Amino acid sequence: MHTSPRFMSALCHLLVLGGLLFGLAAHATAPGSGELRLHDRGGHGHSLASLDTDVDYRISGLVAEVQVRQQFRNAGKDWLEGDYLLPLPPGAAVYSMSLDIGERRIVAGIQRKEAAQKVFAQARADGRQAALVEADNGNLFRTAVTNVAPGATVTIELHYWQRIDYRAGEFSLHFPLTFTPRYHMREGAQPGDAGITTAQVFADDDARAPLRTHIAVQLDAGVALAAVDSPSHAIVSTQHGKRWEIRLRDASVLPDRDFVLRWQPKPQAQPNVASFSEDIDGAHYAMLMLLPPQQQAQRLPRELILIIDTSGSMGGESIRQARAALDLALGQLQPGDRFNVAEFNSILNPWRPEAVAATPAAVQQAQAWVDQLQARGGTEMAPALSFALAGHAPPGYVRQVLFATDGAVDDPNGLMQLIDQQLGDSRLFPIGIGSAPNADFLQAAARHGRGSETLIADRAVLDAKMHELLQKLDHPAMRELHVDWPAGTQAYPRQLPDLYLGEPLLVTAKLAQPISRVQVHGQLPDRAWTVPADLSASTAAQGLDRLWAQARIADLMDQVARGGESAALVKEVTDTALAAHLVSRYTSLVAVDRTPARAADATLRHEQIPNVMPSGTHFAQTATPAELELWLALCALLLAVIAWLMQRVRR
Amino acid sequence: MKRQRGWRWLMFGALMLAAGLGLDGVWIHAKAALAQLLLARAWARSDHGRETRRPWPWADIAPVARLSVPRLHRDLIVLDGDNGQALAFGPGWTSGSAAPGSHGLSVISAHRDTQFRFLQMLWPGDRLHLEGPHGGSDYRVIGHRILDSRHERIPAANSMDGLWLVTCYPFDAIVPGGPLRYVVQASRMNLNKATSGSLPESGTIADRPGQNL
Repeated sequence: MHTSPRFMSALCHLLVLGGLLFGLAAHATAPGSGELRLHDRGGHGHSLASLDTDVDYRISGLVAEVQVRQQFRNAGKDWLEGDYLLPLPPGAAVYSMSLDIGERRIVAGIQRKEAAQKVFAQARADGRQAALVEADNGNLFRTAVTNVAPGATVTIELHYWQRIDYRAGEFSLHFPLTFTPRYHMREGAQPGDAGITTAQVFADDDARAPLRTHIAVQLDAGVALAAVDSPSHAIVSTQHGKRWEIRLRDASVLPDRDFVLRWQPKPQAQPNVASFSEDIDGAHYAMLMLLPPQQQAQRLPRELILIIDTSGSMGGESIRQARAALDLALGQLQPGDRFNVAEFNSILNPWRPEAVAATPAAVQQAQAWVDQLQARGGTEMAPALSFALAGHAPPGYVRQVLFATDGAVDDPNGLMQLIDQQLGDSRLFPIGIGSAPNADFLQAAARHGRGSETLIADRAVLDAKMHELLQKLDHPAMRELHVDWPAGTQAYPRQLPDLYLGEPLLVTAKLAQPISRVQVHGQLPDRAWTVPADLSASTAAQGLDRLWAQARIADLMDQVARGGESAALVKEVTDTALAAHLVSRYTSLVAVDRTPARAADATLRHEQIPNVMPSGTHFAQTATPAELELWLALCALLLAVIAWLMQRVRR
Repeated sequence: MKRQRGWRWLMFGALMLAAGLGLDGVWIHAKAALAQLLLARAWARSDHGRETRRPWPWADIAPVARLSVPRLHRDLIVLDGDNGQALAFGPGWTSGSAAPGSHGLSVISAHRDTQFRFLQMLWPGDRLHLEGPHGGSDYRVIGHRILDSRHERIPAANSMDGLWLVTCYPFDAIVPGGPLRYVVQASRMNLNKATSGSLPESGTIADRPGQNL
């Protein structure tokens, strides 16, 4: 029995030797990463204009007030005007802008978009310094300054209100530091398609982009927190009693990805209900957050319809992601469920004409069918949506449609109308596939389809995201939610979505008079559910009036998307925006200095500050373990020879 | 006697280990070489990458382009993806980048110890030819960069026009998985649309797999 420890010790030696080799090689691969970044492409004309951005968040409960300061510096010898496309989070209510020139501050007024453009153009011609903020249909804003003196710096200060997301026991906020090029603004797009006439310009090498961003957050969550973190950036967070201060670890970052901040309440402090109120100018505003009880009710049998986009744009990695996502979904079906699968590109190709029972054999056949799907052809989404929404589930079944696509469609409004008309009892869950899925389209489809969207940007997160979605779908939703507001109340969203596991109800209302409580009703699979919500103990909050107006504008713009841009709707949006001092599709903020600065004969140069391309794809792993294995094999061989020699010597 | 038996055991153990590791190491290289032969056949049947042809029946990869380097007599079939499985068989096209041979930045990666070992021998001025579903293009090498994949990302496809060949760095490191990448940058000399065979379907979206929005 002496052999085995001896062998073990030899193996140990081998491992030590291997470890040594590992160490040496690892050392060789990491020689101070910074110094090796060579940039040999010289002769790049340095931009004369530069833009620094400071973002300051003040978060109180579920509402954040945000200040964005853009410092525009003219380093050239000419007078300069510049503009920049500024993406802001969805639902941002931009209500204030000021132009700071040295010690002076000029506060902007709200105007109709065309009027604001005229005022700005006039100021430009007169040589007066001016600033303008306008918006497109979505959340892309344009800021412009004109008549900036050589060597001078001017600052545009923007303020907006924003609601904080709360989902599955976690608060989060996203600040989009850049945006993915929008399809309708690419090749062949008409200027003005998006409601702003500035073309998108992206820096061709982000190392040279004259943009730097600083972010600071003051967080008063209202509850005891277990953790604060950011999956996107390195942050430093310090706690002062109930308040937290968070800033970026680096003094400044390149704006090439969204800034994401998350905070989790301590388990016992997780809020189930929260209400906020504000009385301003004789009007009463309320915001209500309510988390339905976590349902342990039995799982309902379901009819799952899986649709997969196999158009040419899904080629390569995207189609693999989509197939993997569907495979996971199919694997979760249980006996008693029903399902069907269909692919679409230029044509619709269903696996079975109608949903079938989810027997193990049927599921296996469907999985094999999905595995052989290839991406080719065009994107005719309407027939696929019609097919998916056409069927009816047997009584007692929930009908869920999973729709895997990159959303490369050219007529989103038509598709939304189709979903509105044909949705019936089905619920639509779009799954965004690929490196840059059309998030706008997917969000809209989820809203109209009364489901929720899942974005899978990276194969690495596919499993986790799909499991999260499927787990959510496994739990019955709270349906037919409504709140008993007193007469004369305007509450948004008007149609409350179904709530799945971990999703809170969030509603903003304008009330005729303050009230102490409202009843919230919903329908669980097995019973009706009613709960009173106390508004008398609500926390005083600011910004509710503007968040309410923003929610109303979003609702009106949704109607524009469904039925077209009617004069009545445009007027309603414009009036709401003007009353609340908000930037919208039809209203802009403009600030003009009183005295002219630039002499009429001095030239004025135009510069657009380019945006930074969203940080792209990861590099692949490009080395095999072959060399390491061969070296280790050699060592083992050497060991074998030594052992052989030792054996001979001893004999 | 017992001692002797101990040494013999050790000898056998070490030999087994050597054989296992050695075979696996050799197999990696053999796989890379053999796959190129089968891929070349699949490519010949694929109408310049326009049709998906599996190099072997159970493969989950397909050829999408052909990269040649006349000076070094290299001729490689490029696969439609750069995940680990694909790269075991050949250079892979990064699906987020521009389709091979079309306008924009195309990115092709391969292992530094198999197909892309020759990248260190490419010099500024070298010609590259890339043939893809949308025609062929000639490129000229303009230089190389070494960058850190922990801090840098592949730029978006429409941010520039050119070709990047990517492999791990340093070339003689023994342990795989290091963070550095050696990137050969090439600029397009001409866009040669006149590749024989059927022309691709017209359409703007399908021209750029992975880049449509």
